[in-house]
Amino acid sequence: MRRIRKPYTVISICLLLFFAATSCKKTLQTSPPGTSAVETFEELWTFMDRHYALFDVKQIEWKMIYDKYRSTVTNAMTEAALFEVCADMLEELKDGHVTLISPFKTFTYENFYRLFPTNFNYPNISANYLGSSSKVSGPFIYTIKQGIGYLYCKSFRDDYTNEDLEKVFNELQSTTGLILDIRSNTGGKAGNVNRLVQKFLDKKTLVKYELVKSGPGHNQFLLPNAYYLEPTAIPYSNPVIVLTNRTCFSACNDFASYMNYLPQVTILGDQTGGGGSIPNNYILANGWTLQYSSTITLSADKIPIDAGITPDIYLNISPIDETNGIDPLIEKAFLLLK
Amino acid sequence: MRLLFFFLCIMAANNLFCQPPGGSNTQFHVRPYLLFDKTIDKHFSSVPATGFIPGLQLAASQERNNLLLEVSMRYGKGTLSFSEKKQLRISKSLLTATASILYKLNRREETGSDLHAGLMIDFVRADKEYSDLINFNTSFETIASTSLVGDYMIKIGSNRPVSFRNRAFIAILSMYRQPVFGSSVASDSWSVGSIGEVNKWGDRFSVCKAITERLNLGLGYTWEYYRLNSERETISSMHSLSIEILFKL
Repeated sequence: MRRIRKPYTVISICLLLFFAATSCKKTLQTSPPGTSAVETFEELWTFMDRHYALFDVKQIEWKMIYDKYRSTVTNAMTEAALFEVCADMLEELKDGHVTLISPFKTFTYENFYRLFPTNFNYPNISANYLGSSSKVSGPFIYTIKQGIGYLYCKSFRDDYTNEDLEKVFNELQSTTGLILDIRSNTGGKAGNVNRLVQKFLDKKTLVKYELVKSGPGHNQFLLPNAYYLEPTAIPYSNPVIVLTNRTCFSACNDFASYMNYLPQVTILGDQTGGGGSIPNNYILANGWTLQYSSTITLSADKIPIDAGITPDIYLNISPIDETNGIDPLIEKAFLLLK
Repeated sequence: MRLLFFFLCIMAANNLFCQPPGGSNTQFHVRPYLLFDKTIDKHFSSVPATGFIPGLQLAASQERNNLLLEVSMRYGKGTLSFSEKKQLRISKSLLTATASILYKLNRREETGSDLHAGLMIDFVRADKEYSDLINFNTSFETIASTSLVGDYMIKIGSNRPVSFRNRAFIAILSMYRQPVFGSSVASDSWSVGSIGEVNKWGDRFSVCKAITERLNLGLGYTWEYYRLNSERETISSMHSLSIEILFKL
């Protein structure tokens, strides 16, 4: 009997210790954080404090913004009211890449283009400049008039094939100049930007520097990482005029920045909308999704491009021109290229 | 294939250098398992992501005099999701490799129980992909640790065909590598952390029954936990159930 009892006693003790250790939830800290209004506000503010990359570029005192909004948050407030406070706090950043998504409402900062003239009317362009001779290849719409090419790139969001791009440039190679219209292009994928820029390069070119956060401090970054693009086999080397407006944002802003440093390129129109950073996502404990700027992008001469790219020639569309179906930016570009 | 080759090399080395003069007491273990993972990667969310990761563990062990030597390798891949956002999927793969050397503490054979203690070197690589999030949507942690291990086994029954085994470990010194704080790109350097900075421990309980002289079958339950108290804090708690298939040579 003694020989049988002892093993079972040992096994029982082992099991007891085992289950005691594995059930110690407080030590393990894998339970979800709180989702009260105050906890949600604190989580949002703290995460941004540690991860948002543009406080110093935008010269924002984030702690002061905390003091301003924290006093308005109580656990008695509704979820909708809390969302409004959080949205107001995030709006202080004036950053189109900052978005807060809840099941009932989405906040995105839009004043980077809403406060300015649109400077773009596609129906007018379609009717009066593209006409029936225009062609479509992937996201590109293009035409050739009087030996000058017009290429409209509506978005960098949708992928395009090399064949799409080659088809466009095989035809545009014969032109003496090119109007490249990226107005109201709200961005997309860096790869789509790069492949289009490569069509204009005749040598390996430094296009930007990227600064990635190395720690939670507002100015804790790794050394700037230089990005180069290689040329394609047959570059387009004739003069190019790039048309921009305030809705040219994010990847489109990058495109304008890269093209700005090419000697054959002139930027014409309004300042671009900015968004010179790589956005990233975070899921809050209450299920809301936060999008934030996680890097700083510098131009080839190390200037932050988050505020947008200044055109070489400022030009707006007046309401009268728009009513008459005229696009002064395209008209001006034709004049400059002739 | 590379992993299998690595595993076979370790087993071959184990057999070449650790062969006892009087013949081997080598065992091969095959453990198909289903692991329930609860992960928090605070770069993406403080909400735990949970899900199942099926996989396979292969191990080889050898007893020589008072030493118990063991190597093992495990790989699994599965999908996790947040409780608040079921539609957001996280693909996670988990690779672990261990090598342990344990010293037999009890000398009395007639009790049917063995108590070992020793050291384990292990390597954990966890890769995560948050495919529905944009840009820097991948993360990983690589942890190499030296751990203290305790192993207790008892055999019961008239011919002792049933064995219970419990093995626990706690990491005392670790090296780890994660992506840079604000991106998915791997950090240039490894960090070193002792208990406190890298909390890592686990416990494995198994019961096996001898089916034939050379084959044992059984069930196992493993619980593991690790937490990197780095600026990119990551926590993972894993429970796995396995089928134990043990071949004796």
